Amino acid sequence: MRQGLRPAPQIPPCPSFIKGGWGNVAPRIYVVLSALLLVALLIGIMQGAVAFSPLIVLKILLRSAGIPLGPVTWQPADETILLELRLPRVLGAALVGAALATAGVLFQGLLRNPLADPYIIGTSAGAGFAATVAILILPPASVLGFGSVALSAFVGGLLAVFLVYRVARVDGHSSPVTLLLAGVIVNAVLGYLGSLSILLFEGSEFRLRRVFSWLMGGIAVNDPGQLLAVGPLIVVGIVVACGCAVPLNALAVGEEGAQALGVDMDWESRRIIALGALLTGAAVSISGLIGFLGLAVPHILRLLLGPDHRRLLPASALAGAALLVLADTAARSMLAPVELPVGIFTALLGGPLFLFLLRRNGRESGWR
Amino acid sequence: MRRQLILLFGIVLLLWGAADAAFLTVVDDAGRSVTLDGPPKRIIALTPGNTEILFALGAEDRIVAVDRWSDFPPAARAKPQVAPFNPSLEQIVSFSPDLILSTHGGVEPLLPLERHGIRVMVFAPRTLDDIYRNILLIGRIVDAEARAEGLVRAMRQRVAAVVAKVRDAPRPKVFIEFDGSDPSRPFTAGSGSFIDVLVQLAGGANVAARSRTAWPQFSLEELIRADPDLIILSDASAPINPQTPELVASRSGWSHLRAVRLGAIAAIDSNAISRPGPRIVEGLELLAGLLHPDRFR
Repeated sequence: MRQGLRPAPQIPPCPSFIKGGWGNVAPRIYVVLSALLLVALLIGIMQGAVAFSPLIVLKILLRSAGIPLGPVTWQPADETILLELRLPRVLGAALVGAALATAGVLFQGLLRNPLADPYIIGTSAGAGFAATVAILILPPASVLGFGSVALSAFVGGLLAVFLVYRVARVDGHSSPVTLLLAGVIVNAVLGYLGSLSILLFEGSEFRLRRVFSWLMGGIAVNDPGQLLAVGPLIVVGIVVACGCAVPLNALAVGEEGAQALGVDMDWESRRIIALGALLTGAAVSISGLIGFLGLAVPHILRLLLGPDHRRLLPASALAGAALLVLADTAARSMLAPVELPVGIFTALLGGPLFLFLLRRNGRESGWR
Repeated sequence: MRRQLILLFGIVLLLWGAADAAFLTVVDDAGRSVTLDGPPKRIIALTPGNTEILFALGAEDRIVAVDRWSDFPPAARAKPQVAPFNPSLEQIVSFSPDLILSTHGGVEPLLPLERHGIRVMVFAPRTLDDIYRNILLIGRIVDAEARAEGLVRAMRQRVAAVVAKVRDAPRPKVFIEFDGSDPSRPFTAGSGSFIDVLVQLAGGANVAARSRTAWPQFSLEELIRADPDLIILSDASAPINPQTPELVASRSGWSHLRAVRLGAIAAIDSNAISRPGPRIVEGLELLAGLLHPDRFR
């Protein structure tokens, strides 16, 4: 009876985009972003320690497909470089970029926090700690083309997210704030355990550079088979993630508001966390920890397109893929034949764009 | 009379000052001017190179502690050890040293010790001449000048002998792997590194010489393009995941390298080519032997 005396809960007015449906998704933006990705892929395939002209690329590709076109005007090594090293790596960069940007949108939307990124609820330290230990003590085993470092990073990242999720879950419910704080705590503890393991393990000084370079991120497709494992996982993950657009939009009016709109928040948050963790883990297993991209790309797209997740998710995936392909090309070519960590270039390419859009839009950050 | 007294007083002061003057003032590799009041009796050597120089000069009695990596000569392992990262100042003071020989990167935490009369010198040689200079300098410090000069003379002779043997030989292209645990971009030694200098003297052409950093991660694309005649694994003796020619051959993409197909992969003791001490000439001879097997033995 006491409940009847309370005033009815204030349900905020329902913005049109929360109601669902796929109308008004602005196909033009996908054409532009797909063209951008295509150009990025072309540049990525042509540029590197060894540069190829588009004609040579085309000839080598056709020849490998069994259609010889004209005489061989290139060194035999070029075929190896293009088909076995360059192409898998460019595709790997596109997959990782798409996965990180999508995971960034998922976590920013779920946690309703503009500072959220794909690593925020444990992945970075979980994967980082596991990879550090693997670099320092594990023999270089290989499963599906993945070395022990990649596998450890994948498993470590997922375990850390699971730990954060369980810790943050109180009375069958996990709020964004507890998730964030638990993520920060687990990241800190595992991060320092990683540093401690460097200091403790005998002979770690011989692998310090490798640990450092892994933590800075770099696309490494050591076996084209890796793409066959990670590719479907990331593509399916992104498609399923796009299905989370409507509940994520509903979350814009707060958790209670979303519940009132008929969204099963417990189920949705579990699904979004699992998806985000899988996408991030798959990305980390071929790239190490690439910073900034998963944070910045969703913001950049939000500034351009507004907060509707139905557009934001697929557009971020395309833009993330294009940005990382370009960043990786820069990392390979800038000081060639020296390879630089790709994280430097995601920040150098994405940072100024992010700042420019932030300034241009003034107070309107596209964030609600 | 008065002026003469003042003059006399001044002369006395000058003489007194001269008697108390520094035993030795040196400018170390960090550009710091370090003044020693007397020959150091208790030295801590914080790099394996410094330890090996002190032993070679017969000054091992003056060493009170070494870093954990100083494992040569075997007698060095019997010395008390100091942690290599951020050594404990308390532990260092407990050895009551009067001189610490360190290198770049490790020296900053030690500088406060200078207030307690513990002198700190930075030795960071980049060329063979730097090593000779450091040996002569340490020779002066530990009162073994003649021995240092003899050692440097012998080293110069051995280097000259190697250079003479390989002078007119073709220069094979060589890739020196420093850490291959990421096979898509192995760490190597580029220009500005000690190993690059040794490869040149040993009559080889370092395929990573074009890189602008001393310890770059090298592009596998470029390695396949350059197609070296010889791959030298300095990570074959690493305590974690030591690399072997079989492991190198099994790496994805590496089977296209001529050196891998022909089995031209050799291991080298990484300490011999990376420690800036007396043994560096042995490293040079090892390298030259791998690059020009027909001219050595």
